[in-house]
Amino acid sequence: MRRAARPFAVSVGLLLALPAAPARAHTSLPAYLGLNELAPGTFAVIWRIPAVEGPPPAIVPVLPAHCTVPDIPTEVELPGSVVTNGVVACGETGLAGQTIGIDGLRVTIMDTLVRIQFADGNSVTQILRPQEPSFVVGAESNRRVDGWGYFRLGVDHILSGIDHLLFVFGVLWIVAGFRRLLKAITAFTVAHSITLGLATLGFVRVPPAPVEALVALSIVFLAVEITQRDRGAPSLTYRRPWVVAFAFGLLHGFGFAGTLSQIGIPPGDIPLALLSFNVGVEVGQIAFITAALALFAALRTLEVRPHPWMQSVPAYTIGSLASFWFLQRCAIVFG
Amino acid sequence: MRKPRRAAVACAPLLAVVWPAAAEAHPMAGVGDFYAGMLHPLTTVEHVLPLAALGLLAGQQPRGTTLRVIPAVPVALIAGAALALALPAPPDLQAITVGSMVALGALVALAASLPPVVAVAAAALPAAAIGWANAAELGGQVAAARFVPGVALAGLLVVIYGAGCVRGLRAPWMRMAFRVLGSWIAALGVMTLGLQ
Repeated sequence: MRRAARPFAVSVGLLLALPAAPARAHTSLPAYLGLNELAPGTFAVIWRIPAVEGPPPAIVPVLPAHCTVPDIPTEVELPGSVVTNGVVACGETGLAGQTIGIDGLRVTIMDTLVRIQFADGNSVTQILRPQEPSFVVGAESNRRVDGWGYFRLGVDHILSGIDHLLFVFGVLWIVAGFRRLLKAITAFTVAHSITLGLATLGFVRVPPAPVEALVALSIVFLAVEITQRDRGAPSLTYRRPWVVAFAFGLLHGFGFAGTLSQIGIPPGDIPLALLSFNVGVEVGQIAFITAALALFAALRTLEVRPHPWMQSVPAYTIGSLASFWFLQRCAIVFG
Repeated sequence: MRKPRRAAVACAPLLAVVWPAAAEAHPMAGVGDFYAGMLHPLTTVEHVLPLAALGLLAGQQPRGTTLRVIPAVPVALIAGAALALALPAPPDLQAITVGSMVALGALVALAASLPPVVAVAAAALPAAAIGWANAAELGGQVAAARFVPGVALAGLLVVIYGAGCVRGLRAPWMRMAFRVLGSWIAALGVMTLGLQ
């Protein structure tokens, strides 16, 4: 892309990024509602809300009206989430054919995984989305989230994760030439697939809060690299962009894994969930890259020539934004 | 990348935006206020089609005019949204946005070469109406400070894609195809007005 068009393109990207910044980059981590039948009609409840950055969103599970809560539930604040444990008694009516929903979900950008384990061994799993914040517990047994559900979770996660998108945008800006770009994006994809797989399968355990802080730092790094290039001092990122994309891709994969770990996938679903979620992430990423490259192409065709002083504004803005996220996330790690 | 191929790449998102707009409407909830702002005009036929026509019209103008029209669109969208937050919506707002579909589509079909001031006005007025219409539908739970920039960015992107598309694909049959597209937009506008 011609240099003149890049800052314009990035300015557009920043228009996208800036208003989203105060909204926290990862409010898209899903919540989890687990109902485990202890005795006919009596369920142990686990309600987990992600709180990676700041207080958790104001969402509350809504169970059928005939269900009662005999004891006051306990609430525990864990790193990255708030977990509430309790018991609900739904009597002989139970939960079959009843509506379960999440109040407040409609005004968030997060999904909620609901998993009901019945005493007879059957189970029902459902992803509730802001567009569909409730569902009727079907009479059919062993209902599971299908691959499409996890795929959509992956697409939603990447497209609402503004920090991941900003990193990809930085790579697109830095890398010149289609082959080098393909190599860099492939390296990023392979790398985050590796760590996503390792973390989801339980081979590696990394706490989400430091990972999110380092993801923000990776964007700061890219912004610095862009300013270095503008000063005529191209570094490793320019010579071997795929190396940097691979290294940071490993980090971003742990970030993606946070989503899957938050929802507590049933062990039997892990291979399907991992594959579908990762494909969803890739499809979302390709859609974003296509839109960004199309924007670059359009700006180049339009021969946009911004003033020289505008050249460095986008890099500094990206860097400032990512630095803010980094400090904010560090405060959570050490706070 | 050679220019026509590059412009073809620029057209892809425009098609992606316009195509589903004809079938879907308002997947508003659950994408955050900013993304909701982006999606709202893109998933409303009487908003996305005038914006697409604006992009095509901008691309048909000389480069200097094109570069004046493009920034006018987000500015007008924001101005229209600001008016919506301050004043009650006029009763025939939808008729204005649909009417702009007809007018802009017709201008594209005619491949009209407009003086810069007229072109900017032709862009700003419908964009302001679209901004107004979008902000008028804001619910109490949606933050205007995030929603409106989303609307502005969506409008800016559609116009950039459209203008880049037209300026890059200059083969005679492509120019004709864009004019046909403009006539379709105008025809859709007339049909919508008739249905109203």
